[in-house]
Amino acid sequence: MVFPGSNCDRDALHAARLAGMEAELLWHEDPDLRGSDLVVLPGGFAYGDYLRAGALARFSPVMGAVGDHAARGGLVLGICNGFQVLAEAGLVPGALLRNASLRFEHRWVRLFVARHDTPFTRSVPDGAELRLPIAHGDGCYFLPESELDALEARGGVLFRYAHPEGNPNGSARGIAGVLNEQGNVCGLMPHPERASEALLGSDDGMLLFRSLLESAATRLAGMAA
Amino acid sequence: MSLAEPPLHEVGDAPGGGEADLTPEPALHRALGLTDHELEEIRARLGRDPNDLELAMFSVMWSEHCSYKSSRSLLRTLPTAGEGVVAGPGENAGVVRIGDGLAVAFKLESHNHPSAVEPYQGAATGVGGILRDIFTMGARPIAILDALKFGDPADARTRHLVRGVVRGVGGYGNCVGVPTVGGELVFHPSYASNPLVNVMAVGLLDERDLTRAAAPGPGNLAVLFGSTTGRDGIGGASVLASATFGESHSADGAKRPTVQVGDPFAEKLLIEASLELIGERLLEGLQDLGAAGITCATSETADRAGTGIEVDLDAIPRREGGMAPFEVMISESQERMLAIVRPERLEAVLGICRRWGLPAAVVGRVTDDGDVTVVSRQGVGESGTPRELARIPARALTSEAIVYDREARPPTHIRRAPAPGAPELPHDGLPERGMDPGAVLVVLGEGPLREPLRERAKALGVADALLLPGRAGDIVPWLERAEVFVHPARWEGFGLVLLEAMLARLPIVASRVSSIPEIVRDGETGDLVPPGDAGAFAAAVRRTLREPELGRRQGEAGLARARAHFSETRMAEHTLSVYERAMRARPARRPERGAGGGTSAGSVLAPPRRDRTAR
Repeated sequence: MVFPGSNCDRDALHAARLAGMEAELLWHEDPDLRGSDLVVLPGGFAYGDYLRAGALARFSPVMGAVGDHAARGGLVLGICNGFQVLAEAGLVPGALLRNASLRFEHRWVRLFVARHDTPFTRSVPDGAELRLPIAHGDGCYFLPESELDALEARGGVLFRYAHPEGNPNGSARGIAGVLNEQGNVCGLMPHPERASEALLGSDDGMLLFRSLLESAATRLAGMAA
Repeated sequence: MSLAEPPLHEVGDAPGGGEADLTPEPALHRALGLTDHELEEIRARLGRDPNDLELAMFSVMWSEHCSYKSSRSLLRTLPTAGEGVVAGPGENAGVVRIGDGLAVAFKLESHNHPSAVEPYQGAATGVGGILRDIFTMGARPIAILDALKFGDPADARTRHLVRGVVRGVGGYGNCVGVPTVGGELVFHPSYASNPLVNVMAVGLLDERDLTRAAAPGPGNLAVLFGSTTGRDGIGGASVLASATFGESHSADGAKRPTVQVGDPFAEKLLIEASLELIGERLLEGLQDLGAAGITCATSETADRAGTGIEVDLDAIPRREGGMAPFEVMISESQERMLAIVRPERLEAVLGICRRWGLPAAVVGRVTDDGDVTVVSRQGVGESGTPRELARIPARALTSEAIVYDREARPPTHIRRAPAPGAPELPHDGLPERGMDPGAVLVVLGEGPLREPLRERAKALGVADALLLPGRAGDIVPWLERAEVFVHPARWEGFGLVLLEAMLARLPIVASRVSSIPEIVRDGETGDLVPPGDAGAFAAAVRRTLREPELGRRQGEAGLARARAHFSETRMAEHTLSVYERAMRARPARRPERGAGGGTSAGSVLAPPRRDRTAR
């Protein structure tokens, strides 16, 4: 998805193609998702984010179609600014606040993968931690305490910041990525698409893209059967 | 907000208008930062007096910032041509071919003063400006670098500046999606009141997308797209922000800070729209608007193409009302581009700008008269004939702007010079001073002789020509600046420094002692003189300095000799050949030691494999 101000759209396109997907860029004003199985909302500053990250993008013409796609069980991955947009649109629970440090944080982090039975993580080996970069000013995950318990209880926490780097932004319970209730929409702050080749410092991000490719293929096979 | 129309001055009006002559205010041109001499030069180029608007346009275009009037003559001496050079000086960025049909565009620019005033926005708009120079060429920006120099970090103001500048560079780059991949940070008290903020951008392009910042084809349209035009950064390129000027010529006298404010979101849209316009082959030329705004963009593109541009002042989209013509023409509002478009492609161009949410308007057309002309219907009504507010030959503003050959002299502390001497020369043997005024002796390294040398130079009155920088981590920059290398050793094991000097193409004056004659060929790669003979050293150095051709020849010969005889491979081969000769001799003697073989020293000492050793 290309919103005005998206700046990781080409990186996501690259990673998707590298994983073997047929991928193309969608446009924020065009509600036609062109039959996509997976929609990626990329990082960047949609509409400049001068108001509040993702606050304007959720109203863009395409977001209705993204919501319908999700309601039908279609896969949606929101990365960084994409996560913020998903949260603003209510497609995943919670909100992303200003980092606890009140500063832009950019560094490599380690992610603990809480579940391996999701469309996003099925190819991640058990016990493996993902090494991915973060780069954001507003990545502090927030949800009221009571709802956090419910979120954890239903398996809605997919990624947590792991040691030794730890929690870079003050997120509640170290949460780096969450799932919606149906488990087909995921938002995360770290950038898997920027860790798509060893040359870039890590290719752990490809585990997510390959998981999604397999999931989409399985789903299609299921529909055909 | 006042709705009063600003006064208009038509071409031919006297500078400052009639009433200005009655006031004791300083002449307008001086208030604008132009000297009396420069006013004369402007009159000479126009063949008449400039009016106020024209004077304002000249003042920003002839500022140091835009014209490089003091440094241009020096910059011309830099090497700019080469096999891989696709675009050199005169364009917005340098472009070098890297193979596979690809090229890189890169540019480095300082944004010192704005960053000293407002560190975050100063640095941020520095990044914005340098990025525009890159994608104006048709290249997608892929990296930012910065070179920053500040005063003492213990100083609170320095810390304020560092924090702001670093955040400004990173914040703007992050927002447009271009990483800051490297740079340097230096603290030194000399930068206390004058921080240096240099930003560099690198872009990647398909060579076929290379776009020129020119305005060819009379009849083509000038399309301004991106942000609207406001009063921010008026005269940032000059000292134009003068109260006198503002009060007498601006309707509301309101002035924005001369430091511009960046909008990285708008820049990101500009990048995508510009690269799409270029990729679709819709443009004849593209120029970003930086210092001196529309005046600079129109005059530079016209001058490069040998054309003119007529600017329709009323068509320029503005963000505030009541702007005087000069404010519109020299505003430095950020994130704007000027595209030169064929009329039949206008709709397609406007469509792409619309798609990216960017205001765009036809603000002028290319002419064949070589002039930048400014016209307006203000005050004459819709039906009236547009009035011509300014007419200046484009080249008078750009390529034929005033150039100074400023007086240049070496710093006084290295003005006079003795002959290069040496730390170990006998006390009575220092050559007579003044044998080559301008020469400076640099003695590198640390040691017990350093202070005595300094004292002695002081006693002899030549301290100002002796540099003792101490230990030099990297001697290459010193060698590059040197004209002759002096090595007055009393003895020498091998003398790696001699090889280093030879590899730097330096002629050598050295003692004829120990291993030195093996390295330096007397009369061929340098001159050898008796050790300790200061007079002979001086004579040899003097000759080399006075005969640059001799020095050059010896330097080249030295380089060739160092490569031919003293390369790593060559040295290894030499060493190996000694072993091989020794080994070959062995078997011949073995039968003499009796039959039966057995172990011998020779078989134990197997020669190292040649390919491994020679590597």
